[in-house]
Amino acid sequence: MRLWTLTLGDVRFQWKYGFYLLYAIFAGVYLLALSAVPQSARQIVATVMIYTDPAAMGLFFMGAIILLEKSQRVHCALSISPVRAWEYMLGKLLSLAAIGMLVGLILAIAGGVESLPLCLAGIFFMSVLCSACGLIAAERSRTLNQFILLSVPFEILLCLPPILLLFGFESPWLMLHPGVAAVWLIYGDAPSALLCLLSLAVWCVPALWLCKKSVRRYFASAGGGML
Amino acid sequence: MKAVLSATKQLFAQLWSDVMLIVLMFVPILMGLVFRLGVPALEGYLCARLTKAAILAPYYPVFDLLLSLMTPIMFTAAGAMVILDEADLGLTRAIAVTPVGRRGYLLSRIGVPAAFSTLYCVIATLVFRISDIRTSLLVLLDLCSGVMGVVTALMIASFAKNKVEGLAYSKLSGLFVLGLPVALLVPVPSQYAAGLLPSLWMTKAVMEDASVWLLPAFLTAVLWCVLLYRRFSQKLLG
Repeated sequence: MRLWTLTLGDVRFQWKYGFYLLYAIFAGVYLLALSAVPQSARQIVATVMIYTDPAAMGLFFMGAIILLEKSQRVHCALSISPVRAWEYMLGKLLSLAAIGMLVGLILAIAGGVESLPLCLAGIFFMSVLCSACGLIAAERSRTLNQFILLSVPFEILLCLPPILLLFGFESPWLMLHPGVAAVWLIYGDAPSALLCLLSLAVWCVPALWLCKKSVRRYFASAGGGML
Repeated sequence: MKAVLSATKQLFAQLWSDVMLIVLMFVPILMGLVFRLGVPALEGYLCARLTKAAILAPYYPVFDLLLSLMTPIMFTAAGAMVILDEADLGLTRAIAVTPVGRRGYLLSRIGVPAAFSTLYCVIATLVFRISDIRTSLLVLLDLCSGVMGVVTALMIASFAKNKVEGLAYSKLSGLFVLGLPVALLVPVPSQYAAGLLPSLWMTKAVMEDASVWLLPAFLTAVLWCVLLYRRFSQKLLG
């Protein structure tokens, strides 16, 4: 129940600060761009758009969300409330995954991806992973510039291997990389959809564990220490 | 003037403590090296694989334009991020009523980084250019990129009320670079619908090797600056 309330609160927060309006504008721009792309390339272009934006939005926006909450002393209040670190973390992750999946679904339909359920699963797992990485980077940052710098290694690690696919370098071993697994699921030509899902789920476990640890440590410092 | 200098010094000190300044100095070099060494190599690979005479080569000026555009945009965006941090702490309005003033504040946070990065951009593009673009055109292009940097940073600073909105607007400000693909992909006269984007005219200038297109690029960029500065002033007063 508390998790639901926190998730809903984050959705309201995102609505208030114009995330939905921003992504409505971006979806419009992406749809325009997709309509200009030849039919034969539309699916791959849609995949690149989905992977680099709605699926990875947490890696970009989490810094601003957390730093704004830091400046508003929200964490100090939360740390002495019954809210647990994992509930706070999942509230953020799920709310960002929801908007990412919504925009991703629109682009997937326009791009004609092969399997919508697999595409949505890929977006969901990737969004959770990216948002968790963003949250870890944000909790360690004091300023936006610091966050941007801290998020760069995550961006490189998550985005470079999928670029290999664009140059025709394909190997089933690449499924072990979460980014490649997500791209295969979004595009719809995964060598094994089950293994891709498993790979993404396995990567989410340490990411969520580290993220929870990071949030707990920050809550402890914001609340005046661990009792 | 002394107050503005002091505010500028404080900005650079903050960027230095965040390690951002080092990264900002390093990224154009890295980008230039990737373009200079990677793009011709990629062209060779693609031409051999697809048995074509040229694939990327006709677009080499666009890579030079990208390097020219990105350098000032990155520097001024870092300044805009500092404005956002300061706005959340209530410092922006406070500084604006000190001897630094509104103009001085913007000059220290956006103007100086833009001027510095334009100079840096001229050096970077002259060293790393991969096309046979004329030096005079390249320097004019870099100046125009400097103004574009001011436009994108002003867009963030003028509209955003906090960090979250700031990052949203920084993403939205990417639309200012949309003129680049429009100039390449959309035929004339339909592309003129994007005529308010300076990047459209800048792309036309490099692709057609015609400096004359930089005039509308400068004019539209300055127009955006004036409109956004007014908006920023209203925001501070409101």
